[in-house]
Amino acid sequence: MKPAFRLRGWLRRLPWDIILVYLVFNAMVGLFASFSLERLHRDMRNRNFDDLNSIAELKSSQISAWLEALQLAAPRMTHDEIFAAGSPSSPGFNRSFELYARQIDPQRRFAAAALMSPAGSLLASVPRELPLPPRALAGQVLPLLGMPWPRLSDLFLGPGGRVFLVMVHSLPRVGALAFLVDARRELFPLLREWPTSSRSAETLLVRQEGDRALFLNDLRFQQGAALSLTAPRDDLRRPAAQAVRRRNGVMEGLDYRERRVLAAWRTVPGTTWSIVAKVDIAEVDRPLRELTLYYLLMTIVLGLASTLFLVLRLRQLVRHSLAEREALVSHYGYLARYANDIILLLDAMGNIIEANDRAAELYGYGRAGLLSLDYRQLSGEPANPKPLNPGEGLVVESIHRRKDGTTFPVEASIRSIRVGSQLYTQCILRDISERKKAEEEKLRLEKQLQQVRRQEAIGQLAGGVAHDLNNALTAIQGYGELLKRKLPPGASESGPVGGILKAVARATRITDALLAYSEQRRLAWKPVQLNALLSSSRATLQRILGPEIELDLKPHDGPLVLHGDGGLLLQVLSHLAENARRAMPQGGCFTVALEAAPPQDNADWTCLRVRDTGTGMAEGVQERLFEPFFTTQGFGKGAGLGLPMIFGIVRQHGGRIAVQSEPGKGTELRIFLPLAQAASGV
Amino acid sequence: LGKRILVIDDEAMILDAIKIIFEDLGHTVEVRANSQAGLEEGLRADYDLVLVDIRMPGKNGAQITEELLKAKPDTRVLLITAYPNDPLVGRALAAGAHALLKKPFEIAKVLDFLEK
Repeated sequence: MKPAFRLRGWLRRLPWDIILVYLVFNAMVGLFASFSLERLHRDMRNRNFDDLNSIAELKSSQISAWLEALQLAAPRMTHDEIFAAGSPSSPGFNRSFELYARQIDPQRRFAAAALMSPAGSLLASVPRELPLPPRALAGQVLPLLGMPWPRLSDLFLGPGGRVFLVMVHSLPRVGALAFLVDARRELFPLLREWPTSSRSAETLLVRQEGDRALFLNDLRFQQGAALSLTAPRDDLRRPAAQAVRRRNGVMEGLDYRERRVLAAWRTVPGTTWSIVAKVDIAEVDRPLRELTLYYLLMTIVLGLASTLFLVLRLRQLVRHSLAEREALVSHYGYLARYANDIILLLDAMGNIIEANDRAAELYGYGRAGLLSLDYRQLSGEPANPKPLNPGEGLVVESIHRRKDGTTFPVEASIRSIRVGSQLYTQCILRDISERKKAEEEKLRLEKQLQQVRRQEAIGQLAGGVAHDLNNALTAIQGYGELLKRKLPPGASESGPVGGILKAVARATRITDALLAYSEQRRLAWKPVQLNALLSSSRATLQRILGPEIELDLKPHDGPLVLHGDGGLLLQVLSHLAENARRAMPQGGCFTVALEAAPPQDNADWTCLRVRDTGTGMAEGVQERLFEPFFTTQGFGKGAGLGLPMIFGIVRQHGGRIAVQSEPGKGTELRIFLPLAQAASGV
Repeated sequence: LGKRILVIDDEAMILDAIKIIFEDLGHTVEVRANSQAGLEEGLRADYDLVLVDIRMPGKNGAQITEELLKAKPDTRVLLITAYPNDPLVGRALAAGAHALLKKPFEIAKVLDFLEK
């Protein structure tokens, strides 16, 4: 079988309904998991962005509020109040300024308060030692002078990395009041607050500085970054860069740590700042990751469970089918083993690889013995049967040999079968000895019956012809004899009357032979001593055979007495001698032997064996040998009535004749005759 | 000198031949083709020789012999047949028939019987 056919057969046997359910179930589980995860992810992102947006907005408004509150604190101070304390150049002025400052800022929200002249020189300060050089302070204050309301500077870096903001209140003629705000203390805590606990969330305050975005506040994961760390404005992956480019928005990007983050930003009203709220994607995606893991686990568990179910079901089906096959095989094995026919299994070389009990019994080898043989040793044929194409069969009759050398006829049904990739030949052999014997017996009986019917028909014909002819001959002979009486004595012998009577005599011999054949001869029944009869025939036979042919008469050792007509039996021998002479024109030997034959029907029998060394006969001739007028001698050489007459006489004696002859090897007739009952013991 | 001969045979040819031949030889010949008529003739008149065929329609030769010899034991019956091996021959001979002549038979043999 071709591999493609095997594969097709294997595929056809699979339980496709179960496999289909399995595949659909797993596909649905997978689709459901992936679809819901995708949706969850999207929802969660939106919520994350919403949260970040809210936080950014909150922070933005908090900073705005803080700045507003800072500005609102300032208008209460007037130059009148300051100058009520005396002239700035007077010695107790600083002390008065200190009192004033403490009064207007009881909570010490400002890191320092300073009074500066319009030219930028320091007139008084609290504390006396400013956290930054007066010149640096003047640099921040002078640009903000001239407006009648309080103004705020941007954040700037002071000594020691401190971050300040300065609020300037212009005082006509005097100069300005400057309040220094420590951003670390006042502003940055506001930024650090986050509404929920988070490991990575933070807010950034940024502003544009040339082509870069400058981080204004301290960072959660990088200390001292305020006003020193920047990011390129053109790097659109950076939330800080996006924040200085657009008013607000959300994005996924990379932060200063190069970590992936979600961010939302918006500008802080009234400032150049933007607030950025960001959180690590790793953190916000953690629940999603956990959910994904859970879904994955669930999918795997369901997949494994359904696979297990499928495998178990398949195993169950395979086991069921195997069990069925095993039952079939054992049933088939039982059938084969105890079958009444011989069953042999041959490999491709013709070696016997399996044999049933019947084979062992019939061949006489025993099973082990048979398995060491090849088919030729049983069939006696020169070659083992060639493997046929699978599915093809062959039925032949042949002769097989047993271990003891005897043979028996078989009908062999040969078929090739494929097991795996191997081709085997299966031979089922039936011993047809009985059938053959019966067939042969039937054939013989049919032939015999046919022969008997033929003889009967011919006998009837012969009898009828003889009867009618004899009536006519009676009249002819009578008239002939009457004519003869009317002629003078001696005149009739050679004349027409003599001719009539001779012809009648000749015709009478023919009708006599026909009567003999149809067993209508009247026998003179007497006991006949066969040995004596044989001896008495010598002279007659010798005369018939002539000098060229040797006559050999072999009487039996003991007396053989037959109840019959001795004269007719002598005629039988004479006719046989005549036939022998014709069969041996060059001379030869004519033998007549008297023998005892096996008893039949409670009577002793004798066999008169008559043999010549003549030309012999073909089988076709032998079959018709005893038919009247059948002759091989050609017209005029013999009437063809001798053997039919012998046949009739022997039959009238209750005997039969067997002929054995071959062309060129002479002829032997065995005439079997029953012996007289009373004489058999003599 | 002439003798009386009765011939019973269903063969007309035989009857004609025997009548012609034996009348020519100076004998008186009566023939019957019917066996029953033949038997009646044999019983009615006296004959020196009765020739009887064995196989005939109606009464056969053995029955005629038996009935004839039963009524007239001195009658000489000669059986004539083309089937010498017929079992009826034995029966007729056992009933007292004189002899059996197988057809064709010689006139001389019949004459021998007539003269005896």
